[in-house]
Amino acid sequence: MLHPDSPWRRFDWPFFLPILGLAAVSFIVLYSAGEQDPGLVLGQAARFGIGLGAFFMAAAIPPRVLGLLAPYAYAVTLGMLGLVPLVGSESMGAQRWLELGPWSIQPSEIMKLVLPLTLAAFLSHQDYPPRATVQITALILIAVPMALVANQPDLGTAVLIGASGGIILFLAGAPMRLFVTLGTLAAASLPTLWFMLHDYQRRRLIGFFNPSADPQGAGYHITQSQIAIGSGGFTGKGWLEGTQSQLEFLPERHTDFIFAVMSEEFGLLGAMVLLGLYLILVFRGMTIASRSREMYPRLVAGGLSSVFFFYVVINISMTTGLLPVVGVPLPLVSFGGSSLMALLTGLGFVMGIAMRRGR
Amino acid sequence: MARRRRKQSLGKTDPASGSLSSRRNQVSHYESRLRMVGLGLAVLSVILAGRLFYLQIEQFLHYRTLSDQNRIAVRPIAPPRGLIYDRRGKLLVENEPSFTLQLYPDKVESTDRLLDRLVALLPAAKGKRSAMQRRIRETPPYLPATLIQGLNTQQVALFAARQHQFPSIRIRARSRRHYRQGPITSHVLGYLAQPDKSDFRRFDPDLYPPGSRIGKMGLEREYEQALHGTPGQREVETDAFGRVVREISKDQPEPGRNLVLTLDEHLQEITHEALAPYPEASAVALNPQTGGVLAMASRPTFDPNDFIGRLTSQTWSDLLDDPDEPLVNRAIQGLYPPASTVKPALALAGLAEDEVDPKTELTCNGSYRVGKDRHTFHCWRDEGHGSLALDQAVVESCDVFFYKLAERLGIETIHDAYQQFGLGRPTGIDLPGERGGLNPGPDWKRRTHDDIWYPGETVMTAIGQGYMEATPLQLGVMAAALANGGFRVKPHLVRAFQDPVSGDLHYRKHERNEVTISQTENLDLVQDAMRRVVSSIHGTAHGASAGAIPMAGKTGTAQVVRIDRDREEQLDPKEKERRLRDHALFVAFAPVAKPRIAVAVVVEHGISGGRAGGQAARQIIDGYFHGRD
Repeated sequence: MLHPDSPWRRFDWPFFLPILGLAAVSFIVLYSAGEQDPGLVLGQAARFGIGLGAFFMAAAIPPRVLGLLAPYAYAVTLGMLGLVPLVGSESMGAQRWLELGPWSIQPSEIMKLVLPLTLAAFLSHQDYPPRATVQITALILIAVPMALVANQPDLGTAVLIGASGGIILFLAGAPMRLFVTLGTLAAASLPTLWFMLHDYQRRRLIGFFNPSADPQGAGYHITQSQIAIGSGGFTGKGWLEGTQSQLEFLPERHTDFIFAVMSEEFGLLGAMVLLGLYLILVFRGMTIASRSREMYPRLVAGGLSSVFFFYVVINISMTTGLLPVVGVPLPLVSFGGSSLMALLTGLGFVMGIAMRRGR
Repeated sequence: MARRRRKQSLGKTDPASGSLSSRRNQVSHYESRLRMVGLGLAVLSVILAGRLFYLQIEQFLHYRTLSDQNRIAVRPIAPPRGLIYDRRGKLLVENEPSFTLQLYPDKVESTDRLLDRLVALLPAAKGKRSAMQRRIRETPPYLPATLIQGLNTQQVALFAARQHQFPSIRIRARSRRHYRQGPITSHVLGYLAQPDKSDFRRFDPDLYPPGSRIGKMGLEREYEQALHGTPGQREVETDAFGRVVREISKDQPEPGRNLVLTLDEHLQEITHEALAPYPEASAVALNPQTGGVLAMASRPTFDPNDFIGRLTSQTWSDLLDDPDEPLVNRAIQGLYPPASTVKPALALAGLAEDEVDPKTELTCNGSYRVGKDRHTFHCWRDEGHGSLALDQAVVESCDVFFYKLAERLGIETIHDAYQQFGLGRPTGIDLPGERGGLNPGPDWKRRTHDDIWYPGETVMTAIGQGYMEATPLQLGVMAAALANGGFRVKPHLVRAFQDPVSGDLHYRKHERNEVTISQTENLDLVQDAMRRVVSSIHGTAHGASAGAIPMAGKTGTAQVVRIDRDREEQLDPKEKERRLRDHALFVAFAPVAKPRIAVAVVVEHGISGGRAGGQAARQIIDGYFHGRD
């Protein structure tokens, strides 16, 4: 039995159950997307199990300790990011991985989690709202890892890191004009950015804005994904019956485009159920943030929850053709271990906050 | 929104340092920010839901159509092309399976290693590595790349046994024409190639789905419609790589009809053998009664098996560039002065018009002066033939006798006589590209040269020179008319069509027209003279007299007109000398009593009709009767 004072007594089931629900959706859709290979689903289930272990370990860390450790984690991760261009391994034209013995880790994925934790820790020790010098320091804390990741090149992750930092800054009460200025600057630098892009990135963007220009090339992913989703209709074609996915017209079915598989086979209904699960999870996270009494847990819970949903929005926008293809997996549903690990750890921190909100 | 007031942080360790109201303000500000973020996320999810509603409800029909277009493909099923048999039912063309190896790039770990293993397994892949790599590079990643084409059954069997080691490579089977006699029958049968735009002016493009072949020459072209059949189609569900997952519906093709030819495969071989000593020559052998072509040969020749079904072919461009034009069927497309081979026809005209009778003797002293300017025309025999009658003039091919006869007949009569024997007009054989030759006359001269006809030209026309041009096939038809008692046959190659399913044969009717010959005795006289051309010691083809079968014939020696001096200069002296030699012509039929074969031979630069032409005709005729009669 748990000790009467144990935080585990206040385990937040409304936050935890949507996670299990999403895992169930993931396994069902993966079985269909992965050529009905039970091994693939079992493998992902094992990864999910390991991820849940990380979730509970993260939940066990009191937010106070987390705030103390975060700056060190940030420094280490930044160091690893700095090492990537020197010793990192290359795949598909980008250097993202560090090989550590049998492990290969992607520092940019860790940074997605570490940056909000660190930024929250830093800002929670400052005045509210933050002073100008604090704002600038915070921006530097965001910009350095962003630049390193963008240089790998991994524009999608860089934008996500920036967004996670921005949300924390916003929740920490930074003035609106800061965000207006940053938005204006970003818009103004778009033309310059275009010339800094790699060819394949430009092709993706062209493919996004005009998929019919090259339906077999750059626009292929986006065209096939929209066909899959649209042809699903209201109720979908049925599990294992999606022609776009089963006949392999849809690329990257079990990773980035798993939402298209889901929408093809389960239709608008299925997509709404999935979106509903995400909304329950995220708004529960926001509630946890709102109920928390201290600034650090508030920033962490609010920030991590909204960033989590931000990933969802980006992935679904990408598969439905609202955004260019950037290579963001669908949180907790897409096949893959490292992103699942990072996400569940982050959600574990939020759970840890939920369990200790009274103190 | 921004609040200007300075506030102390919530996170500070000493909560007492801030007033309660400022702390409440911080909390409410944070709450408002959190609500703003929550509102933003809610707006985003509404946008997503709206987008999904648009795609899945609004545009559902549009995307369902696109999805069906993706997965459902209509695949044509090529109809089996009709086979071609010779007159005895020997197969001349067959359809043999030809295999292609295609690479599906999605499952390949390393193309280099894959090709290494493939080359190690398949001897046919050796030396094609770079070509294979190029094709893999040039093929878009979502399409299968063609690695090797044209593998035969043995080669593909070697690969099929190891198929499991190459999951990314698929075998595609197709049907390919195989011409069993290769160069022996190439000009008659022709060949197939990919259809182009000009083909679709004549043939229905719907019958030729991508990958189809169409007849480009010879019988393959002439009987394209009958041989091709009608393609079927099947509706299939395919995956993204075009692999068929299941069949939805199927519509069987209608196979093309088989052709049974009048051609005799054995005689065709013999004819080629007979012409083998000469670089450029052609010959036709006809059944004089029906006009059925027993053999038709043209040299130089080519082997269509060397270039069909290949991706690129050096052989093909070599054939196109060859100045000796091996792709030309000289038997129907080569134009030569018929020379003295027309003399029997002219002799018959002389007898019919009563300008001479069998006893009339005319004198040849080696030359003859014609016209106002008294231009001298020579006999081939400088010392002359002395006084001789018509039959002897044919036997010895006396030119002066026929000059004199021509002056009596006049050009109009000569023109008509030649026309009766089919000269100057295509014979109408069932082959594409036949040329009509030229049977000149005053009308033609006025039309084309805007000039009057001169008496000297009449004399030249009488010995088949001057403007006159004829194809070997026309000479064959003329020989057939002399042999069959005066009927101009319409030469043809196809004797019957065969339904490939039931095996029923549908024979074609053959046509022939009567040549006006006043009395059969006249023809007998000319036939006998032609017999003596070969058998008499004075005959111009006496060299061909030794043989199994009595044969009648007529020689011709056509002067070569120098046209391309530039090209002549590039040749070595020996070859140049050869190319200035006369063409040798010979028409013949056998047996004399009851002719069953009529032959025409043209040997370019063969010097004299009696020697080269006569020998070739003798070989063909003896070959035809070998083992029979």
